Parts: sequence; C-alpha cells; structure tokens
Amino acid sequence: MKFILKTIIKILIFSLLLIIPTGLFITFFTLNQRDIPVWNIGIRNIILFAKNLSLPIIAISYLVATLFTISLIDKMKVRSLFLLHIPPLFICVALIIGVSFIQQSKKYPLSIIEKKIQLGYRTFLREDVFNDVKDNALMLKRSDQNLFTVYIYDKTKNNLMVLNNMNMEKKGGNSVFIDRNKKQMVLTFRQKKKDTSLKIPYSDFNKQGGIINNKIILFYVEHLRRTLLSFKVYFETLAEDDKSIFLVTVFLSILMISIPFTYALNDGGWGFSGIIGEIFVLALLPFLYGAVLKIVQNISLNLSFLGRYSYLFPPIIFCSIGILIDIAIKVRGIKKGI
Amino acid sequence: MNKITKTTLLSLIISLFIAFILLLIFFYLYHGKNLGDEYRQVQSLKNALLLREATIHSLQFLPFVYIFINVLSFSVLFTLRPFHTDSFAYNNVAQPSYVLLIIFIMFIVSSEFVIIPKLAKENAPIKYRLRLAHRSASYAKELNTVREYEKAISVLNTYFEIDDNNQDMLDLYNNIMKILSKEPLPIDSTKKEISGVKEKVTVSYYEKGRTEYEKENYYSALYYLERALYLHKDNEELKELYKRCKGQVEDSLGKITKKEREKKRLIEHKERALDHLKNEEYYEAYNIFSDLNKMYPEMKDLSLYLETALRELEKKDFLPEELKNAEWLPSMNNIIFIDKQGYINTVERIIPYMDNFYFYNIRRHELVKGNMKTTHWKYGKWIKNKIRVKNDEGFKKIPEKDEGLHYIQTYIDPGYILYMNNSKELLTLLNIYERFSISENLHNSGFDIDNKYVYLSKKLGILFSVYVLSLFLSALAWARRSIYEFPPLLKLLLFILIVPVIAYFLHLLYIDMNNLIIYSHGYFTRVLFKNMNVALYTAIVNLVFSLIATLYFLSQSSRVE
Repeated sequence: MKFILKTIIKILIFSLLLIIPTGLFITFFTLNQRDIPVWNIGIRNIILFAKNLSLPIIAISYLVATLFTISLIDKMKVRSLFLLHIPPLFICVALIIGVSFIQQSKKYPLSIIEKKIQLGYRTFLREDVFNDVKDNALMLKRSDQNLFTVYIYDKTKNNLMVLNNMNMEKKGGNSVFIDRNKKQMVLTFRQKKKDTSLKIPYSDFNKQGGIINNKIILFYVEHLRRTLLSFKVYFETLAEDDKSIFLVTVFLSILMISIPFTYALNDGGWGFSGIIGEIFVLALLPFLYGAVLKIVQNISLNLSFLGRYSYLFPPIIFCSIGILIDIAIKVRGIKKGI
Repeated sequence: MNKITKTTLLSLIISLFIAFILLLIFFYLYHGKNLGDEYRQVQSLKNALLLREATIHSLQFLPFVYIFINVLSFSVLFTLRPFHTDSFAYNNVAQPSYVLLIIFIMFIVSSEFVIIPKLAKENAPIKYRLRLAHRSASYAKELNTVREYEKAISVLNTYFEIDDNNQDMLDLYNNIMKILSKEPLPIDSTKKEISGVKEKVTVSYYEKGRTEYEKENYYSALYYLERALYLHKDNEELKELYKRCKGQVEDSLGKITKKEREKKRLIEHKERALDHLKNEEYYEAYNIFSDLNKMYPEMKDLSLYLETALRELEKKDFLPEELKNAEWLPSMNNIIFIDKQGYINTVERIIPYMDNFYFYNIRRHELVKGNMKTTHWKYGKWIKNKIRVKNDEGFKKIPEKDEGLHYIQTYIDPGYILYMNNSKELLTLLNIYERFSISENLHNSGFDIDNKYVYLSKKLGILFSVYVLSLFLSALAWARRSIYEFPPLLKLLLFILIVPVIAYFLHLLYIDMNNLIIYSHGYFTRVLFKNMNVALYTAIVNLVFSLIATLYFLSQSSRVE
C-alpha cells in the first residue's frame, strides 16, 4: 500500500512538473502547424489555445510522467510487477471519471472545443520593416491612427505595389482583415476603378520557433500525422457514444503496453539507460499503434465474441501484448530467482 | 593534478575532439553533395568554401555535442576501469569537468560572436568568385559559339583573375587567339600576360615627357612637361625642355590647321580647360577636352588631358558604358531598401565587382502618404558612400539643389544591401560589433532585425543552455550511472544512438524556453521594473536555472545508492 501511494504521489508530482513544458510545446507546435506565428500572438491567446488543448496536454504529460517514474523506479522495491500497474491505472481511471463528471455536468461532449483565438495583422506582420511573405516583401507604414500604406514588393518580378489608406480595423473598402475560416489575410483595395483583393495564406508568412520547425521533428510529426489519420478514419466510423469509450480504452491500452516495456528497459545497474528506454518507447508507440490499426483495418476478422464492442479490438490487442510482456518479465524474473 | 583528474580531462578533450572531427567530416561530405553547380567551377575555391561551411555548421552543433559528451562521460566513461581506484572521489571528475565546461563556454562565446561571422564573411566573396568563375566560363563559351571573340577574350581574362590553371579555359583562350590571327600564347606566357596587367610603371612626368620628346611624340611630351611644370615651376632644365617642345608643337599645329583663327581658338580652349583642371572643375575640363579631342585626334596631349579629367571624374561619377560592360556578371537580384532621404528603392540587379557596386534598374518611391509617383533610373554606382544614379547620359554636373534626386544616401553599405533579400545569410555575417553598431541602420533600411539586446539575450540562451544542460544532465547521469564493469553492449549502442538526439532536442528546447523568457520580458516590465533591460532580465532568469543546476551537480557524490 505504501509503495502504491508513493508511486501515485511521484506520478502526480512529475505530471504537475511536466504539464507546463508539455503544454507549451503542444500549444506552440499546434499553432505552428496551423501556420500561426507563435511569438506575436500574445499570452492571452496562448493560454486560450492551451486551454483548448487541455485534454491532450494532460494525457501526454501524465503518460510521460508515468513512464518517467517507472523508468527511474528501484526494481528492488517492486514486489510485484502487477502491483506496479495499479498506481498509473488508478490515477487514470480517477481522472477519466472526474473529466466525465465535469463533461456531463456542463453538458458538452468530450471533443476538444475550438475557442476562437484573436488574430490580427500584428500576429503576422511587423510595422516599418519588410516582412518576408513567400516571394514578396510586405511593409506597413502607419499614415493615420488606423490607416496604413501597404507596400508589397514582388521579389520575383521586381515590382512594387503601393496601397494607400488601408484600414486595419474595419472590413470593406480599402482594408486588411484576417479570414479565419480560409486561414488567410485578405487585402481589399480599388485598382483601376475595380474592387480587387489580395489573399495571403497563413502558410506564406514566416514561421517562427526553433524546435517546432526542426526538420527531424517535422519528419517525425509527418509520420505521426499519417498514423493519427488512420486512427481518425477508424474513430469516425464509430457511433457518438462509442467514441468516448474508444478513446478511454485506447489510452488505457497505451498505459498497459508502455508500463511493462519501460519496466523491462529499466536497469538497476544503469538507471540512465532506463530514461533512454522511456524515450525510445514514447517515440515508437504511436507507430506500433498505427501498425495494429492498419492490420485490423486490412484483415477481416470474426469479432462476434466482442458483441457491439468489436471496435475495441485494437486496444484489446495492445492490452494483450502488454499482459504478455508482463508475464514474460515475471517468468524471466522467476528463472533468475528474483 | 592527480591521475584521475588528468584522465578525466584527457578523456573529455579527446572525446570532444573526435566528435568535432566527425561532425566536420559529416558536414563536409553533406555540403559537398548538396553544393550547387555554380559553386563547383574552381576546385581550390570549392574546397575552401566547403571547409568553411563545414566548420560553421560544426561550431553551431558543438554545444549539443558537448552536452552529449558530458552525459556519456558521467554515465559510462567515468565508471570504467581507469577510474576504479581506491582514492577515487566524485570531485576528481566533477572539478575538471566543471573547469573544462567554463573554458568551453568561453570558446562558444568567441565562436558565436566572432568566429562564425568571420568564417561566414570569408565565405561570401568565395561564393561570389565561384559564381563569377562559373558565369565567365559559360559566357566565354557562348561568345565563342557566336564568334564574338574579342569579348570572349575579355571574359576569359576575368576568369583567369580567379583561376589561371583551368586547362579547358586556357585551351579556349589559345583557340580564340589563333582565330584572331595572333600567336597563341603558351600557358606560362598567358599567365605572365595576365599578371603583367597589374604591374604599374611609376615614372615621373619629367622623365616621361623627355622620353616622349626624344621619340618625337611632341603632343604627349607637351602634356607630361606641362604636368611636370605645374608641380615644379622653377626647374630651369624643365622650362628649357618645355620651351623646345612647345616650339615643336606650334610648328606641328601649323600643319594641322593653317587657319590662324582656328589655331587661336584651340589654344584659348585648351587654356580654359587647363584652368578648369587647375581649379578641380573636372566636368567643365572634361567637356572641353572631349570636344577638342574629337576635333584633333592627332594631338596626343589632349587625349592625355582628357584621361586625367576622366580619372578625376570617375571618383564622383561614372559612364553608363562601365555598367553596360559589367552587365554579364553574376548579380544579386530584386532588392528593396529604404534610404536616408525617405524613399523606398527597388533594384533589379546589384553586381559587386572589383571593389565596385553596380546597380541596375532602380526605382525610387517616396514614403509619403498618398504618393504614387516613382522615379526610374537605369544605372547606379556606389561612389563616395552614396549611390550615384543616372540614365544614359555621360558625365553631367548635378546642381546642388538636385543632388537628392541623383544620389541615394543609404543607411548601410552596399555590402549589406546585397543581402536584404536573404535575412538568414545576413544575420550569420554580422559579428557582435556589427550587430550593435549597425542593427539600427539595418532596421531603418527596412530589414526585419531584432533589437541588439534581444540578439544578446538569444545568444545568452545558447550559453546558458550549454551550462545548465551539461551540469544537470551530467548530475542526473552520474546519479543513475552504470555500475557494470562494462555496460551491456545493446544498451550502450542504444545510448550512443539516442542520447545525441536527446541532447540536440534538449538544447533546442532550452533555446526556445529562452525565447519564451525574452517574450515574457514585455509582460514582466509592465508589472515590475519598467525599464529593465531584456538582456539583464534574461540573464537573471537563466542564472536561477544555472544555480539550481550547479547545486544539483555539486550535490552528487561517489556513493552508490
């Protein structure tokens, strides 16, 4: 009991410590993926965006904290491997019950709610300098309180376009506004007695941030995105009620497989290699899950024994693999006389 | 210094050295594979470019390599046999590692602030010379195909200024010379001829004048003697020779024009032009000598005076022909900048060549509300810290009130304007002194550049990242070190594969976190210490992290838990 309590406290402390860096990383990364420059958006918007992503942030920091605790655990103090599953699962179940209760009491579904963050021209552009916008350089020069002269220089054709009296506050006439639905900045103006508009997609503006634009990270994320896509395809075939059950089971199954994996890699003789093992597990896990999902999608199996819960087959496979690893570790331990 | 301390230092230094060499080889091969065709023309320059590129990238990657080496050392290396002694204590490895870390951080300071910008700056002309060689080679071949041999020879001479060992180009040169019915030059003499251009003959006006007089080139002699007389008015020998020369010229003048009135006018004009020359009114002198030279091409002194005026004018003006002749050279294209006079300037091409900067197709748009007018100039040349702009006209004196129209006064030198399109490259080129001295001017020119203190804060992030991560991860690695005599091979392999990647990402994460600290400065100063400098704020926050990391590092011991 003491061991379980201690482990629960450790996981909770690690989770709390990790929630801010994980939250910032996920928020910045998501913003970057949506082509929104991260350093001009303002703290209020960052907090709002992080709030929208609170569920994955909590889930990921909790998962990392759990694996970190297990990778650093003293194996001599683990009396039974099965006992080790209790603290993480206990917290997880408690969290799920808590979240479900809040969800039901507030009467909105579990899905992530996209609250609108505020975007303006300042999010994308700096005044009085040439901002790189794909093949153009764009400069805003304030001429009045809300009026600007916009200079757009086409670097491929050596052509400068000057738009006078552009309003940044009001939509219509000569103006600059953000079209959030189409993810673009729109400049409307009159040219040769015709109303014209120039549309600049978010992706044309300079991206900011070091690690979130790193090529290796982007390569990894691209593969992760494909896995998530196959997951999404599977997820969307489910009925509304089943979606929540599926999500919860998937998360539990991830815990079920990653705990014995991390424990197996935890080495009392070289603790640091355990941490490395944890990172290795975290990096590989999404792809393992993706592979299982693909197999399930591609082969036809008779899953009548699961009844209406046949969609839970992939997490069940994961859980089963986790249990098998648990047994293998136990048997190996007995053989070694531990 | 005891044996363990020595071994610790040695293992850290050797590991760092090996890692740096491996990085250098990797980047050399990587850049070699990805180098564009235009940079491959001259082998020696290509190698110099690759070596510098590889060194720059290796230096940029060195911080995370050092973090990795520390983790590897504290996790594995310091647990191996050479450290298995009775007198071993954690301090024996911690102290030298700490000292080495401080030395390494000092090296990173010099690398980030001076060495990398210096190497990048050295690379810029190498890159241009390679582009120039590539362009010269291909253009000379094109000209040879279309039988413009004279021009091809001039282009090849430009090529030989960069590389005089390329056999293909030497063969092409000799072939063209053959076609031009001249003796083909042997390879050695070709080189000699090229280098001979640079030799300057320094003979005094008097000696030149006397030589020309002896050769009976009286007009040339008159020019040199007049110049000599201007400098040494009381030299009797000179006066005598000048008198004799003038007599010969007057005789000869009689042969050129028999009309007394015309002769008188010529003498008057020349006198007036000489006065202009004396008063440094070169535009006026040039115009008169130019007209006289057209009328009397036989009079060599006129053409020599014309050349003198031309030389002086070239110090403040230029002829469009100069730019037309340079048009084939490789250029930086489509550049925009703001000048001191409040205009936005767009330039189609800028050619940096032989300490000159040539500008083509310049459009100027005044930064005034509602202004839609643009002025256009065909050519521009960087002269005396300004860009002199013009169309097809020759030398033309600009009235003082119109100078603003014909000169562009820039905030920055054209060497920086060249990179207005490529912010990443320009920022790498600037050392700490330049970042502090010209960042405001760069900003005024419209370049999107961080404030100098933000730049300093960002660099602080790199230094603190090395310090904090090295100490924190070393301490963590030591606390969870290997107690095996030799760690399991599979795990060691996994460790060597994964830890560098982790060190790299942690280093990037720390730098991003530092950016977040910089970002929070604006919010912090709204609440407390309103005028606090961003660099000071960043340093203080980072110092707190450093203190925690140092305490954690110092709290370790050689006891096995």
